[in-house]
Amino acid sequence: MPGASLTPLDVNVIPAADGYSIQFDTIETTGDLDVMLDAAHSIVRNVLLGDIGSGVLLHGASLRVGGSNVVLIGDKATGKTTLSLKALASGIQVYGDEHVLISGPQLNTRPRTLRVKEGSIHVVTEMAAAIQQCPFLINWDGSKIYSMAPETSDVTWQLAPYSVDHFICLKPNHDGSSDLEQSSSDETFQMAMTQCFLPDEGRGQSLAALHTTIGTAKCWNMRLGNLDQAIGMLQQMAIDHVK
Amino acid sequence: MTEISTGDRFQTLEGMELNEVPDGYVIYDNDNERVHYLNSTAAIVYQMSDGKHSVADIASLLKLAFELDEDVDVATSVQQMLGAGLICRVE
Repeated sequence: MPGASLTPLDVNVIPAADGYSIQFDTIETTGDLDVMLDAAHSIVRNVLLGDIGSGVLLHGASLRVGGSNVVLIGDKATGKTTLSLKALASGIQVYGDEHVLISGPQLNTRPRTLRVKEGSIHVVTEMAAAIQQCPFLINWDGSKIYSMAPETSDVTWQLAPYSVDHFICLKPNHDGSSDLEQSSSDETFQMAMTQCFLPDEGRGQSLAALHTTIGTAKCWNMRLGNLDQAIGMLQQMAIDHVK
Repeated sequence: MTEISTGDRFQTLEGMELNEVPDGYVIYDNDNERVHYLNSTAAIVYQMSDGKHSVADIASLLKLAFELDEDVDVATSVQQMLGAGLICRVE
């Protein structure tokens, strides 16, 4: 996968009375392991945001469905990764399930493998064997979280800048049916604002970029239940609403 | 709710990061970490809230600009912007 070379960060982690202390630039954070993880995540996020200037890091999955680029946004546990896996199993190209960088007219997906929880495998049985071959880490509760590149023998993982044709806000309807209905760009913008990380400087400019990007796409709400239905709706949406 | 008269004048507050988008403005309130979206009509009301133009002036301009037969309800926009902390009344 092409991309910029990685640069190690110089971060000091020092044992402290109530856990550890992280020192990075002029910022110092002290606390237990959870606090350290949050701090480490924050450091990486800020470095990433620094790289994209006045952009927005949007928490969302990104797919290419029938020639259309689709971004799925939604709270945690709404099914972004599960739907992405099902899409992959259906021959749809998946860019990523976590972050999209918006810094201009074109977007980039942050290169990161899909994180698949052990408990989610049963909803995509056709991918189960492939997922269980992937590297994993052990979650706090002892369950596995697999790290899976979104590739199959038919689908290659390729990342390149793209423009978005569809934004879909996911709402969970676990064990129910799926449905898809058109939404407004205002509603989608409001949802997106709850799912984005903004740089410390130039937030207005970043939000304007987000607003413009959403304004040029078609916006939808999807209640995500039955995955086969959801994939069918995505494919039909891409056919019916070609730009 | 604050009473708005046609002769009232308003001005925008400082500390706002104003960004033009194709269909209006996205305004970021740095002090309160709030974001506001104004559609094109509200953007004109905001822009003309310069302490010099009255509510009646703004309504006339909008009527002219959009070639409308009826008066424009500027007071409601002004109310919303007052409530959102985007503008203040000029005494």
